[in-house]
Amino acid sequence: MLERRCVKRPVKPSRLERLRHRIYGVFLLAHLAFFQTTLAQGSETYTIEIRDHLFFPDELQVPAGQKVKLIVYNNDASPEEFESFELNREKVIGGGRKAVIFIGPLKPGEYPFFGEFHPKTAQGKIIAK
Amino acid sequence: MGSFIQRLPREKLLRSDVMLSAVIIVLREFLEAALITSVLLAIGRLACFPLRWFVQAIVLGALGAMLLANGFNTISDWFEGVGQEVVNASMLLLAVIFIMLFAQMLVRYLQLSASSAALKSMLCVLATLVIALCLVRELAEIIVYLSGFAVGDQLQPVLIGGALGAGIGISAGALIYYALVNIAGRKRVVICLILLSLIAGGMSSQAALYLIQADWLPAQLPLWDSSALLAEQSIIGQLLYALIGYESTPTAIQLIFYAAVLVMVGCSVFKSFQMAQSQNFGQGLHE
Repeated sequence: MLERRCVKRPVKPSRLERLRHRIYGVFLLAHLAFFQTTLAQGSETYTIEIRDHLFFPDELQVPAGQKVKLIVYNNDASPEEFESFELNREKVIGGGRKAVIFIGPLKPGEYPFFGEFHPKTAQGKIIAK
Repeated sequence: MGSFIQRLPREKLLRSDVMLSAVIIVLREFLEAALITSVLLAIGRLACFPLRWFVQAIVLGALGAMLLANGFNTISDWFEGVGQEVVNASMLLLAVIFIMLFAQMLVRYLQLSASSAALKSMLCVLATLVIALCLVRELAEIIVYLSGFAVGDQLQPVLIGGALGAGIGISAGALIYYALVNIAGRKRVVICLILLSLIAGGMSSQAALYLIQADWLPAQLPLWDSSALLAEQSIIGQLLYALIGYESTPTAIQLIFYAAVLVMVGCSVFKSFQMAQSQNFGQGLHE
């Protein structure tokens, strides 16, 4: 307990120094935040349809390395959830509605997705090339 | 494998599949709420919150979920089709703000030499709101899921599966609660605050993910892929995702959100740790 009282307090940085540190911090954060960001002028749009708890098409090819806009039309009467662990996306789509989901940028490869509400039948994959 | 499985009639096969999917879907939702509920209940017991706060949270959550599920289609069309993401992200970020306030106020409350009724009721209100916000999100999805099976013969296995999933989720929460409650008062506060900071971090990174999905935050390549170490689809991966927001392919923005919230709530952890060493601690504790 005694040692704590004897510890010297560090000298407080001046206001100007603190301001400078804060500005550096903000720049660092901004740099990190936009690390590898794709500034797409307008992303390409692809559509997927859900019918009878199945995805049409069940394989969709998209360009790799850019943001892609996916429109999923649910033509069933009951809601479905579009979900993918690899794409890191999940969205519930009401019966007879459409949903807008942005995916990417994706490295080349296969990214499976499924309908969480009917996982046994609704399955598909996105192929990024 | 195929020769070992007796071919079940088509109806039976589908029913068990449907029941299993229902168990998993409802369980995942309940698990997300389980940890935060147990932690807040454990703290509440320590600081003697009247149990009414928890009942109010459940009622509020259930009512809010019914409202959200009802207006689901309308909300989804807001903001050019991304209303669902915006509303979910807002609820998550609001819960994060409330958790941060809760942590700060808890530390202050425990430092006081005489227990402050105003501070305690504020803590109760914050706890109620946090649980209610989590329940609204989770129950709304469950309601929408169930509504899809309202017509047809699959309603029964879905309801049974849902009830099973809910039971498992609630048991997991009870397990965590009793584990926490068995820790002595001073350490319990520190551990609960650490858990709160992880939970809040996970919530904020999930909010960031929703906003990225809605194209409100910039899209990025993930910084790393830890699925070789722990796949998000595995049982432990799913558990960690529900509890603390584990992601195997996080982007920079998600990590920034997580780290920022972790640091902010973490400050309260440090203060509580310092306090736990001092004599003053324990004025607000009753165990």
